Amino acid sequence: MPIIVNLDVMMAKRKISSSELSEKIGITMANLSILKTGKGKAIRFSTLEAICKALDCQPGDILEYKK
Amino acid sequence: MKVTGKNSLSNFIEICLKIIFVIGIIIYITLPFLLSKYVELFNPVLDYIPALVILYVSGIPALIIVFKFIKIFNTLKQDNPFTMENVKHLKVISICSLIISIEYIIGMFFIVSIFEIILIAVFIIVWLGGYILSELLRKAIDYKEENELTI
Repeated sequence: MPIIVNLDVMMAKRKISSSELSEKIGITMANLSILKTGKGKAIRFSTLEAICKALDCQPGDILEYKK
Repeated sequence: MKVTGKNSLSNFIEICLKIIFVIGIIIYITLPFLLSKYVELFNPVLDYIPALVILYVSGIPALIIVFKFIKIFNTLKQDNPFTMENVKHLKVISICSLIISIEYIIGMFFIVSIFEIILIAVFIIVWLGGYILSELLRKAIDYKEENELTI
């Protein structure tokens, strides 16, 4: 997949743990790990919005396109 | 009434299918004896050997169909019918139905009766229906996977 999820980088920058983040954005740990490991097929705008809000960043900080 | 899960309609049907499966095996084993009794008592004009061969050959795919249906209903009982295993089971069911219908079409050359025509029609419908249902199930599994991996 050319779209890479850099969620763990952003989480390290904000010094937030997985369980804390999953609680903040209201998804389960299992779903968050699917997202972090890049197994996910799609991400809802509402989830993306919640992540950006929780980590105080832009979608571009989390998602990256590689050729 | 519950359709899937424990103590439900699909559970009841599964038990019925298991009973049918056991009865089918018993009939299959005792077929020469039963058929000779049937010819003697009800239908003296029936050719014994062709009828025996037709029933023996169609018996195996028929039992496989019942067995595969038991497996499908077992997954319904566990409330998890969207598996690739079920797609395979439905494919096997449709192939077995095709075998039975072809076999009875060949059997028409030896024994002609109205029941054979009905059986051929029924199993051709099951063949096509099973094939279409297996493809539908495959699509449903794709959608389910996509939905589960959308976060």
